Amino acid sequence: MRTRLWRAVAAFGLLAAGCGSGDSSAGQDETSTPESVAQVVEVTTPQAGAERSSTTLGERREPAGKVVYGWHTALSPAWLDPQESGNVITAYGFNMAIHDSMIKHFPGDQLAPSLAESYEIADDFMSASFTIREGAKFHNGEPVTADDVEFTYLNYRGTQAQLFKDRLDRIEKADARNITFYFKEPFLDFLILYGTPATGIGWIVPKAYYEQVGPDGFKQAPIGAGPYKLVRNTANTELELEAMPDYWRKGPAVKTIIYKIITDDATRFAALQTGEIDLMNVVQGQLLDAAKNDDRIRLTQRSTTAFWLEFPGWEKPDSPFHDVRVRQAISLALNRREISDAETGGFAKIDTGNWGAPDLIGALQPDEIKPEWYEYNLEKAKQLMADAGYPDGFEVPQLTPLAPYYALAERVITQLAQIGIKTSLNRIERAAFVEALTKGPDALPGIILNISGLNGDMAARWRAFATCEGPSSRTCIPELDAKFAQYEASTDPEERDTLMAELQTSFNDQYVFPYVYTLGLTMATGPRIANNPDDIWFSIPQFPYVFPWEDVELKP
Amino acid sequence: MIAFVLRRMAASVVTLLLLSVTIFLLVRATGDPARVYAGAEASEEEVAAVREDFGLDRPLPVQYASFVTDTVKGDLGHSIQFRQPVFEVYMDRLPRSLILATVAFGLSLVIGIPAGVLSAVRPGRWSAGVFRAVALTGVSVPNFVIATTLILVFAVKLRWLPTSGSGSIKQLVMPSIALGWYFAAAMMRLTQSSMLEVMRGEYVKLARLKGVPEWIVIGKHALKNALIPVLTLAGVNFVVMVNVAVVIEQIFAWPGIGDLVYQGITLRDFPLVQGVVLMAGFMVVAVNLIVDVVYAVLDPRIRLER
Repeated sequence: MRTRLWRAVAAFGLLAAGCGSGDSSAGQDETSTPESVAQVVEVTTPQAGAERSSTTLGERREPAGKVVYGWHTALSPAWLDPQESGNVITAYGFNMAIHDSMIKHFPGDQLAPSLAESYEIADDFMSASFTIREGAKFHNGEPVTADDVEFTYLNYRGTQAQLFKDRLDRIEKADARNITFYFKEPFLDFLILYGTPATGIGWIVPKAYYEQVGPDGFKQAPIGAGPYKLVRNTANTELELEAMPDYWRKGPAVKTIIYKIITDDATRFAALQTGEIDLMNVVQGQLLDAAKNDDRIRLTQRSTTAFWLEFPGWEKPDSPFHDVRVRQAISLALNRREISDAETGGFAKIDTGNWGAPDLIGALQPDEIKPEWYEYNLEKAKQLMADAGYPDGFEVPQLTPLAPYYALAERVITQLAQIGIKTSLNRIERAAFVEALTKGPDALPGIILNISGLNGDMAARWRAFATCEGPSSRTCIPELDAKFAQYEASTDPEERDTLMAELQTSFNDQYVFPYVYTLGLTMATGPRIANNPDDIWFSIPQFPYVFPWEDVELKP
Repeated sequence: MIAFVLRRMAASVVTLLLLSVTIFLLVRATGDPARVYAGAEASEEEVAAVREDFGLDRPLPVQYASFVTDTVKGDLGHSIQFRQPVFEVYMDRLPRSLILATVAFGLSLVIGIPAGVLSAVRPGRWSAGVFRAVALTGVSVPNFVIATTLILVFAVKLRWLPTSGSGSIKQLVMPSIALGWYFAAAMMRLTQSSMLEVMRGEYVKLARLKGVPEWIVIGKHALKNALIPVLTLAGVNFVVMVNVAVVIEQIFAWPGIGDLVYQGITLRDFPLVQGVVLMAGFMVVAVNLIVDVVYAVLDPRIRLER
């Protein structure tokens, strides 16, 4: 059975494997070459009845030295508790070091057993069985047991918690290491939701400790089963982690990891230059040039998730965006090369063509992307505007971007002006934007420049942004909603795969969410780190930060 | 005297009540923190659960009444993001802000007061010019420019000081200069005008006529009186340095109250922002109350006038 899920997984696996050698500049060249993502090999892997096992234990070693990681955002202590995961990928930047999950992606090995030694999804998707890895321990020395896995599931309060509770029929524990979840109905999305950062329910917390200290106490002093334990938290601005030498996969090489919160970009970069930090999240703007000119600093750049435009209320006949020719003209007027050059020095991708990036499970793959979805053709755009009855264009009240992408929004505004669409920037803070997204099409009239880091699969993104009742949706196409309902009801993975592809293709053919370009992120590695930066940054899908921590090494 | 103190205390309570209403309404005018906490993709049920969890589903008057009664009991609420009592979060950050503010405050006094005195008594001297230039640079150049320039010169180029963080004296140097410099200018201008006024006083003229050395006239007779309004301003400046050094703390990754305010605002953590603003307001009111009472003790005309 061929499935889109496994094609995406295989495609990313090849990309990750391809990044495993060479210097950083080679890595940059690879990412700037569309073929590196376009490479797709279909893998015959059963999703129904999926069964994986891994009993390999890595080397033991004496950890030594200290690595300081310059983090770019304020730290919310809630991020240290996967039980309240809010589908914020930033939180997993900490979880990946402190906690561990039953299943997770590893470089080149997606949905791999982690705290689970093996797992099996029933052919009818009515149950999922796990065997916990022998010797898996929490940081307090207690073994990870089926009781902990059960508690984690039942106590989970984060994103999609209700879905997991509604679907659960019962939990059976054969012994301390074997546990099976039984569902009331086929739960096809279980593996994706349980085994990716789409939710935190698969990230196991110690039952006894959690009950002892409570949710708030846990956030202050979390205990996990990951490769590093938290030993110091200075006012949520500096975390000190210490290696767990007997971590199941391999003993970490570095004894101490310091997460240093430095939200100011220039200060963070200065700290990298002076050697105060070794790893730096997000180098952007004019700092990129300085970084490129510093031969001690190695940069890793990747295209991640896509920006798209939305036209709230486009379904109404009196909206100028109601005419598909106008929406197509807008797509054609976007000079994506110019945008990528200005925003990222030209490395960000401009041809992924879809509002879901190809490494998102279930998203259209490069060979399914139509060139017209990312074509730049100003003359054709003007002609379409004229054909639609707008030879001189029209005025739009505002264009609202997600903060802080104001510069990108200005570029889009300038390019739209070339086909006569005149608008102005509506600059609002991120929190207000996020809230407005949930208030229907009238909350942010005009055009929206949007991007999402929602994890999981394309279906999750569709559910949120493209269904009539989606929590962040400002669009409603009843026939596509019906097709998505068909997808949700189907228990045939192949049929779901086809439906998801049809949905995206139909959406893109109607230019409902015209693709802008794919966000490019740059991370920096200092001279003391021994690893090839490409092996530790962006090493798994949809996760831009350092991973796996146990692989990080210092130069002698 | 007791009646005066009681009147001033009653006025302080009214001020704090007005502040509490203002901050309570202002933070809520910006939107729903439950949505921010749950995320844009969260379902309405998930958002409603967060709202209920933090008591944000209750009517506004009920929320306000609860806010005030809890505050009176010393409970500033529970931070949405930190999941800790706001008071604990605040007190966790306060020592670092006090350290930074104390050093910056000292710097502002060391630069501002001598500069103000020299500008008033020896306006033509080169030393007065230098002091004035240094102080005015502090108020003219935005503090983020001063901060990043300091980092570039002393951390990146000279490698004398660390770029950021807290915990050592070296890490304290640049943020306290960047923070104190701005306030030094305000101190200088007030000291200068106050000194000019005092120097015109009859008792200063008399002291000079009696042949008292000029440095004693300035240092003992004039400065002592000129410093009264300066110290009032200094008290408020200190409270401001402790609570709202947002930009400096951000740039230098200094884990103080200013950084906390920034986090509270960006993450829309209502209880945190309310709590920090209220604590800052309480400090300002307390400083003013103390100063008023001290004035009244020193000068009976003040308590009789009111």
